Order: sequence, then structure tokens, then C-alpha cells
Amino acid sequence: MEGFKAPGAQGAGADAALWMRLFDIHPDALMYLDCEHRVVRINAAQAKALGCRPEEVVGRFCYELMHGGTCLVEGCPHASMEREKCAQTAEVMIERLCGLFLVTVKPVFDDAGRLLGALHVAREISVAEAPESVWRGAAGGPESHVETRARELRNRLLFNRHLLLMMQRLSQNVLGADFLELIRFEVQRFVEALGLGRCVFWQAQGDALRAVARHESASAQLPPLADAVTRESAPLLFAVSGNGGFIRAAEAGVLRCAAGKVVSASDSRAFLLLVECREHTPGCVFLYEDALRLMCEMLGTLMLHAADAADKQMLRKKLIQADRVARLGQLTAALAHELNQPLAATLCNAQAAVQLLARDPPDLKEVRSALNDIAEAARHAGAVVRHTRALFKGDVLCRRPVDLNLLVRRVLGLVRGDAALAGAVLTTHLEADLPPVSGDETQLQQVVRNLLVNACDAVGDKPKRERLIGIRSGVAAGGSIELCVQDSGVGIPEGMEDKAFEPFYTTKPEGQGMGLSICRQIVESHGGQIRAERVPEGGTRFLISLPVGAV
Amino acid sequence: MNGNKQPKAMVYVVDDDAAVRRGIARLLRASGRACLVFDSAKAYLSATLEPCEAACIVLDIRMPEMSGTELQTLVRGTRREEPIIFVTGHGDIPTCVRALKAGAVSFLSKPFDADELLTAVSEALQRSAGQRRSREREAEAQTRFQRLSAREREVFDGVIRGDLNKVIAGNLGIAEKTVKIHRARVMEKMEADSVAELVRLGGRLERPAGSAAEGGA
Repeated sequence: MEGFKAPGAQGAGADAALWMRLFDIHPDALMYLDCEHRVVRINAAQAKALGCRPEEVVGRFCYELMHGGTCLVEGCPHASMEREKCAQTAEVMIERLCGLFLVTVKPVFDDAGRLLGALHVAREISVAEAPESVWRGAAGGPESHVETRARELRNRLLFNRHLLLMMQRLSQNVLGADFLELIRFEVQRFVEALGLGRCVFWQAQGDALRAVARHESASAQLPPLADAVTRESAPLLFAVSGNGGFIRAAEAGVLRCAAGKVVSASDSRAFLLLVECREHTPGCVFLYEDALRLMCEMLGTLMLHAADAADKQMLRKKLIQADRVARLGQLTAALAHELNQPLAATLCNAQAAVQLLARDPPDLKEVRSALNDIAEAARHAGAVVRHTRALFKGDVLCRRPVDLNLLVRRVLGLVRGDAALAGAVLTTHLEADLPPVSGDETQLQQVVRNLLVNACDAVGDKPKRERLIGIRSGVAAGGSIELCVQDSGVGIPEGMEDKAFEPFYTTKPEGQGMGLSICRQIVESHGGQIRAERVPEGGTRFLISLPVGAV
Repeated sequence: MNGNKQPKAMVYVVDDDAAVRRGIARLLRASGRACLVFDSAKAYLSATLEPCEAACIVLDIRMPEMSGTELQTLVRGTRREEPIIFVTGHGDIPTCVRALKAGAVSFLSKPFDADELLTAVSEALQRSAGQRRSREREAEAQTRFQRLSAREREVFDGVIRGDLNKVIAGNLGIAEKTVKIHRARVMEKMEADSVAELVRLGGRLERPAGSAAEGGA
């Protein structure tokens, strides 16, 4: 074994056979090459991987042996070692071995400093095998049910063919950001399809992550992350990436604590997915057990089902179902509120009637009025139910051509009182000859009325001369009909434009937060869209677009 | 007292929903309660109300323009501060807690039972009458106090502080005998039979802070 410069062998007269044996039993695949890239010797691990005996490959070119090529492959660390004259590490996809390997090439010099050859140390890092050790590394101990589920999930998620392929393709030249993009894409797909919430990705440097591990307070160390957690009311999926710091934190057993801290900054709905990109081993990706357990707890079987459900149709159905459930809750609240009014009137009148009948003589005239009021209240309640049911089904009660301009004028007649009381000045710009939209006039009226009444409320706090409300109709670029209600009021807080449409969101002390969410339902059931915008010079603008004619 | 000249108890119903308003009013009248209805908080505020022995408001929380709780804040500490019974179609806990903390008598969720409303109204009217009585007593104590001379007020302060005649005399630099004479005049003018009653009357008086003689200092 000439040229093999074993450490400590020099001048010691040590037994060369012992060094050869040590070379052989090394668990990593070792390969010693000469300066022409010919194999001088491989160890047992390498021979086993190649499925041959060591002597069979002596003298063959490494690139031919490993990749079936005629020259060094692109990205091979051997080439860079020759340039830099020092040890080089890179990930190499080795076709012959069907896997991704972390290959370190170390130059071997003689006493005079001449290059004799190079030692290749290859360690497989293909995701198919490597994470096993990672799993065991973090917790150890008997495998719990949760861990089994975590493993299952990991298998489906991480080993999802799609993701795996992308990771390998990327691993040649991995960048944290690119990697995150990929994970984001994958995870977001599941989360969105299931309507589980939003996925927030946050990147931190190793130092920041180490700080989390060291210190008690996550919020102090990670203000952007903590902010995001507290701001968000929807379930959150956090992915945190960093470098070596987290691995060491995990090994020290503090990762769990750090993860817990961040999660508890909000509530149980938030959960943290820790993704580690190790600095010196690009492409080596770990999803920590802790993170996965959290993930399992939150997404549970839904996620597994999602992974099972290959056809998108099913995911879509689930999404729609989740949406329906949300709408149901929202409508129940609205329904309860609307029905309590006529119910209160009915109960009062009925009990009054009993007392009036008990009088001597009974006050029949008043009883008759009470009964009439009861009937009226019941009719009103019936109308509420009919209306709400139609909303829940997402149906439009009746479709007729509706002239939006006429509708706006009619609503203006209804809300003029509110506007006058609020001291607001109403201006209208209604485009002539607007094509009709198709839909339920009463529902659309409700939308416009809600928006105008909101606008009246919104400008109330402004000085008298600045209480302006504008309503404009027109044909948008895409051909749809656009209706815009703008006010000069206090406006929706920044970043809350979408939230405004969620049920129970309100800026008014006594508001129910139902108005805008009902507006959105109505507009969407008409095949249209509604959104809110902050007006730079102050105030809010609500834009509704509705398709022309048949829905 | 002089309450007999005024109308008895009155219930003001403030609700923007006409059906609910009429229903509540009918129920109250059928149960022998006099009431007045208003379709908004502003209508209630702008109305000229006859003074009466006791009054309370049955107030809807959710109304356009001015909500029930806004009205509550507005009338707080004014002569119009009547006990309030809130009614709401959407009994959310935070609003309820806020309203009760701000002094509401009860909080009823629509639909409510006649008994609930009538019990709440009775309680509110009792509280109103109590408030009215204590207001009258305060006014009476004030009137009597006005009759005292400057020296008598000094003696009055000493007595209700629990000072002995000798101490009062020393503090004011007058003879103990003179203090006794003033003291008798104070008891007479304040229409008090005992020192205990005098102390009670003193507690009802509204006097600017620090105006009571700092005799002992």
C-alpha cells in the first residue's frame, strides 16, 4: 500500500497490515485514488456498496466506476481538491450506488509535500436512509404512539416522491431560501387544501436560533416570529430554518423547550415546524421529531389522509367542506341574533295577552293588538330563516336582471337618514347605461346598505367637514360591473383588510362583526368578489365586482 | 316627604325594534306599570320627562346611532341617571360584564320571560326610590346646615369629630360655657335629637374638601 500515508505510521515502523485492516473496517466507504483518478484501493464498506470484491476495481477510473462516465463529473469534490490542494466536501449523486452521498476528498501528500493521491470518504445521505439516525438522535427511548405517527407522517410527507426528487435535484447546490421555497410549496399545499390555516415561514440565523435555545423568552429573542404568532388568529404553521445552532440545541435537549416557548407565545393552534439546513452539509435536511410531533398533534390524521388522497378532487371536497363548516358557524350566530328580536316580541306579547285576559273585564282590544304583533313577529322570523337558509346554501334566492344604479338610488333613499344623522356628505357617480347584473335584488340591497351604514359609522369620529362618503358604479376592465363605496373615516387597521370580512370582526364597540361577512357571502354567491382597501389619504374603500348578466 | 305630589314609578323603554318595543310596553302596562317608549337613545335624551318618585330604563344594547352602553356612559352622574336594565339579542359576555360594572341593574337576553323583566323592573324601581330618598335626605341636611352661623359650624365640626366641649373651647379660644350654648343651638337648628344623629347628618353634607374647620391641628 505504497503512497498511503497513514497517520502515525510514519517512522514508527508500524505494521502496514494493521493500517490496511483499520482502513478496511472503517464504516464509511473509503477509496484511495492515485493522481490519475485510478483506484488504488477501496475498503470493505465501499466494496459492499459496489457489490464486488476490493481487488476487482483496482486500476479503474473512479468516474467510470461510480458514474459510468469518461471524466470527472460536474460538482465532484476531487476536481476542486486538485485546484485548492486541500480537503473538499460536496454532495454527489452516485448513479452506480443509486443514492446521494456526501463525499469528502482529502489530498495525500508525501514528506516533501508532493501530491500522491486522494482519499475519498463517502457517506450516504439520501433521505431514504439518513433520517433514521436523526430520529433516534433526538429523543431515544421506547417508541411512543406519537412517534410512530410522526414516522408515518414523515414517510408520507418527506418521502413523498415529489418532494424527495426536488430535494435531491436541489441538493447539488442548495440554498436555504430555495429549500424553504420548496418546503413552503409542499406544506402550504396540504395546509391550504385542508383549510387548516396559513403557513408562515420564518428564517433565522444560527445565532438567533441558539439564542432561543439558551434563553427562556422566545418572544424577546425572536420578535418577528413572536409578533407573527400573536397577530395571527388562524392556525399557523411555522417553519424555521437556520444552521448548525439548532442541531446542537437539539442535542443538548433544549430544542423541545425552545419549540414549546414559541408555540406557547400564541396558543395551541400555532405550531412550529423546525427545518434545519446544516451549514456544512448542504442538502442534508432534518425535520425534527419534536416539530413533527407537534405537526401530528395539530394536523393529525387529516394530514395523513391528505397524503393518501392522491386525487385533488378529494382535497377540494374537503376544502369546500371546511368552508361550509365555517359558514355554518357564522350563519348560526347571525341567525340567532336575527331571530331573538321577533322571539322577544312574541314572548312579551303572549305573556301580556295572558295578563290582559285575566283582567275583569278582559281587555280584548289590547289582546287583539298583541296577537297581531305576535303574528307579525312570526312572519318576520320566517323571512329571516328563509333568507339565512338561502345564504347558507350559497344560493341566490331568485335571479332577475338587476339595475345596480337603480338599486343604489333606492338604498340611498333608505340610508339618507343615517347619513344625515352622521353628518356625512354623500356623493354618487353612477355610470349611465350600466349593463344589468343577475341576482337577488333584496340581497344585493342588503350588501349596499350594510356598506353605506358602515361608512356612516366610520366617518362619525371625523370633524364635520371631513365626513365624506362616495359611491360609484362602473364597468371594470374585465367587463364586470364594479361598485365602490368609499368613506373618509378612521379606516380599517393596516393589514386587517381581509380580516374585516371574517365573522365577528368589528371595530365598533357594539358591533357584531356580521355585516361584512354577510356581504361577502352574498357577493360571492352572486359569483362576484368584494374586497376592502385602505385609502392612502384616510378612510376605506370597498370594491364589489359582479359579473354581467347570467351568473 | 313630599313624594305624594309626583307620579309614581315610571319605566322608560328604549329599543329601536318597534315590535320588541311594543311588546315590552304592553307587558309592562298589563302588569300595572306605567311606561314611556322611545325608538332611540337620542329620542330618550331629548324628551322632557316629568319628575316621578322612581324610574328606570329598559334599554336595548344594540341600536343604530347611539348604543345602549353609550347612553349609559352619557347619563352617568347626571340627574337622568336612572337604574338601567339592559336587553340584548346577542348576549355577549364582555358587553354584559362591562354594562354591569358600569352600574346596570340587570342584563336580560332576548327573548326573556315576563317574570325576569318584571322582577328586574321592580328591583330597579326600588333602587331608584332608594336613590331618590337619599338624595332628598342629603338636600334636607344641606338646608339645615345652611341655617348655622359661622361659629356654630365650627362647634358642629368639633362635635361630630367627637371632641369634648372643653377641647372645642380650647381650640376655638372661647369659654366652655359658650360652647355649650352654641352646641344647643346646633342641635336645634339641625333638628337632631342626639349626637349620633348629628354625625349622620354631617355625613350627608356636601362640603368642599378642607372647608371643615381644622380645629385640632
